[in-house]
Amino acid sequence: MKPSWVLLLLGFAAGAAAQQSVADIESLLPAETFKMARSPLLSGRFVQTKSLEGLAQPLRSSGQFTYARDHGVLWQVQQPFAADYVLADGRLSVAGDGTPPAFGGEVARLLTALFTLDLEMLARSFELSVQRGKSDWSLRLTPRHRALSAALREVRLEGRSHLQRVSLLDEDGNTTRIELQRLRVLRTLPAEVLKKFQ
Amino acid sequence: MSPRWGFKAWLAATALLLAFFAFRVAPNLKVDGDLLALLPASGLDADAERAHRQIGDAFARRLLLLVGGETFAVAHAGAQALSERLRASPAFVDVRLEIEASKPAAVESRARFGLLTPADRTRLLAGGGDALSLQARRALYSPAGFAGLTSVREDPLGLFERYLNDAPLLRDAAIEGGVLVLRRDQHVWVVVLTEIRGNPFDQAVQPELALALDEARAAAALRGARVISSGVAPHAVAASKRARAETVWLGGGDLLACALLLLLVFRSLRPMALGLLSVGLGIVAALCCVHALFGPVHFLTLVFGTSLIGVAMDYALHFLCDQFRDPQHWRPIDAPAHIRSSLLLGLGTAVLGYATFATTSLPVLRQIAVFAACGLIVAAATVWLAFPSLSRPATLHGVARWNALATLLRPRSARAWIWLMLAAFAGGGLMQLQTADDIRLLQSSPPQLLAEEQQVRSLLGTAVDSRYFLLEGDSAQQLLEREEALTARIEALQAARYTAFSQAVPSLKRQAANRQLTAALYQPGGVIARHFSVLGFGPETATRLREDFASAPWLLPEDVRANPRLQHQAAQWLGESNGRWRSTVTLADVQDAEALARAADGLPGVRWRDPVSESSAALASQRREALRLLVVVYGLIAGVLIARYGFSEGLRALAAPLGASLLTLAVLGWSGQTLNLFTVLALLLVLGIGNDYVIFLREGQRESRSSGAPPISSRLAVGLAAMTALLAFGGLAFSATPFLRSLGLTLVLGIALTLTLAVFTAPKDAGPALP
Repeated sequence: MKPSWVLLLLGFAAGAAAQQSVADIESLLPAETFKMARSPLLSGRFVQTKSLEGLAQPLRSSGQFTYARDHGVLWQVQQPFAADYVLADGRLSVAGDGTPPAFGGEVARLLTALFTLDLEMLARSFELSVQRGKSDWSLRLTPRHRALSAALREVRLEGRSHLQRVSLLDEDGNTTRIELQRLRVLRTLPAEVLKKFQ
Repeated sequence: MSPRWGFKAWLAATALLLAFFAFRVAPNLKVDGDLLALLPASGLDADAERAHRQIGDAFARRLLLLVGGETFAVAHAGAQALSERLRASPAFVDVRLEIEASKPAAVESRARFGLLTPADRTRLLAGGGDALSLQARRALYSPAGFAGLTSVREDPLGLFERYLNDAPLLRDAAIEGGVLVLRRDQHVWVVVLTEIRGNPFDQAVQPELALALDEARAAAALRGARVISSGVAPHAVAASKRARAETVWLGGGDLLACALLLLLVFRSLRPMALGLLSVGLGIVAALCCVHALFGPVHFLTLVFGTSLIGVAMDYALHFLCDQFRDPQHWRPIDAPAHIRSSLLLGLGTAVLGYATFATTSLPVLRQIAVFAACGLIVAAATVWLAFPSLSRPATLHGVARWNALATLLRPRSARAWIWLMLAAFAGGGLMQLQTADDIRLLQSSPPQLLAEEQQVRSLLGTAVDSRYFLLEGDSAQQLLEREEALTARIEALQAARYTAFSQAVPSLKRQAANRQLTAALYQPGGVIARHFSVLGFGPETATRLREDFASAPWLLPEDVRANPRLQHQAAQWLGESNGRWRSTVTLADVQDAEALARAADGLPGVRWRDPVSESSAALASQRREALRLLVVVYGLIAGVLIARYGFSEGLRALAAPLGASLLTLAVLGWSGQTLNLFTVLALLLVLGIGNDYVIFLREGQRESRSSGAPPISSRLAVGLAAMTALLAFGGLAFSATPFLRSLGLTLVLGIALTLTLAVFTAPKDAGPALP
């Protein structure tokens, strides 16, 4: 009798986990994570690794990013080549490179929501489930709608006191992993960054 | 035929008529509400005409709704409630809220080597292969690199990816929470795309459609969201609702005015009931005739049919007023002898006039003519055959008062300088008269709907145009090639955005050309091999792609018909009919319509279509034809009047309706109103009604000359008839529907002027001076 009781409880718990509300998730993650993610000015370094099927070495790029609540996200790739991307107003624009990528708008909104942990926004498009370790946590996002699942299979956010890693897994089994490092809250927006937004 | 036999014959005929109406006509009677359906698209063969209708129909069936709220949650909940209600309605075949996955079909993916966007083709023609490779590699490192519909190994340069995203449904909409969303000024709008089961003007669809739309809006409002829409449907519903209400109001008002007047004059229910009987039977008979000859009754026929009540009532009034000839000794059985000539002449000329209109090629005008002629004949026959038996002498009150009214209409004369001034006024007004045959006469929407339409356009950032290109070809491939020749010109002009089926399925020629253009990229050591090796892929990746290129199938029109992603483009493809293939290229955000119209020049099988201006042109040609017929009718009636009254007196008689019509046009000219088809139709009614007045007055005079009694009864009949007509049509002049307003204004002016002129042109009473 006893083992089945345990199974039942486990099943119940799993069901509950799948239906975590935004408020539940927020309560499960460390408060300082949100404090950081929701500050109006934020900057840091990133390392992006993209693993493609059939490719022995992943594609690596790295650079600097700045988030300004009033302007958006400036994504400055420094390696292997220099390119500035601006994610703002639901648009992704590429400085010095002709055509904006397809789905630029959706991607800009999604990435901004991911980096700022806008759970409300994310919950509209994804089922959210959180796993809390001792000091670390991971948030799994699976697309709710077919429009998104055509391009994405799963997104995973991981962190400790703040968000450290965003992994995107697409339908073809390719993974894009973005590590965020040296995150810090800015007092003022540097003039040269402000110029990029305008 | 003795009165008794006449009445029996009338009873039998009426019973037959009512039975026929009750069992055959009423259950099957359909009202055709599409005001635009009366416009023939000119200069098209039957197949092309069908294609034109098909396109118009498809356009009219689409309805786009935006559900807005302060937050996404409110807008989304509203949109869900709205969609749920619309899906439950049989009036909607498709209600799309959630956006479908837009992955390409397998056959498209395999045929991708022949598919290129115009921009990529231009770049490749300029030898930009390496630039494309660099751009694609950079994109892989960008933060958005993960979001694509195609994989790096199958579409290394992103050519297919760009092709798939080349014709987005809504440019400014973003996908959020699985639905299309527009954000503007702190407001979130969720897009719901729907398709209606039939034409929204179709009376079989409309009641359910109107109900579903109302309830769906209410359901969204309940969740705090507001709804705005863009499409033909709400306009069709509003126009029909208003026009129907106005018709009922107009017909009912006319009938009520007639009934009240009869009640006032005779202080008895019987004359009123008789009046309504003659008009009612006239309308029933007219409906039967139109139903038997044409099938569905057009809405416009009903509008004119209700105006007919005024004319048909004249006969009943004339009979009933005959009592005033000899209030003490009047017997109903004697009346026909006294009004015979008036009735016959009035009816004869009116039917002659309407019969002339029945010769036109325009179905709606023919219907109106048949309706009017049939209704008038039956109303007059009822007066002639049934009134002598059904009528009873009433106790007349206030005879002196009515006599005084009749005396107002005794012949008068005006000084020459007054006629000269009127002529000058008429001449001056006619010189200023402008014509306007705008299709908006037929349909004007409530300002609130127009504002919604404007708001949707500004939110979507795109304006769908009613103008389009109609293309024909001997085969599917020839048709696709013709589309491509046309769209190349549109691209070069940059005059509009367009949607064409060849965007989804290029012609085989174009696919072959595209493959030729890209073949070098896939060669060993070519751009793609280098691209892969820079990224770090093994050589087998390029080899496999080269093999795919070599074995790629061609994409054919039938391959994509069932693909939901290409629904929009597939709707442009009309397919084959009688050995001809047809398609359309539709437009949005038109910048330069003249340049577009010229774009079809010299391209075989391509025609520029502008339904709005074509409709206006059709209205103008109908107006000209109606005006020609009006002149013919005047000629015919002049003949009848001259035969009856002699040359100069006949022309004098005609002068009243003719002069009144000219003066009415002059007033329209001076006041800046315009001449249109409905003004001309109103002038035909003015002639029909005015002619009755002229004839009744003259015949009354003749009759009184032979009987020695003063012609009180005919003058009273005319006075009362004019009062009812003015009361009834006066209301029309305040209609919100432009063509009804035009009709009402012309009728009121025309009838008042005809009556005045009839009095001033009638011959002097002969014999002893009259009271």
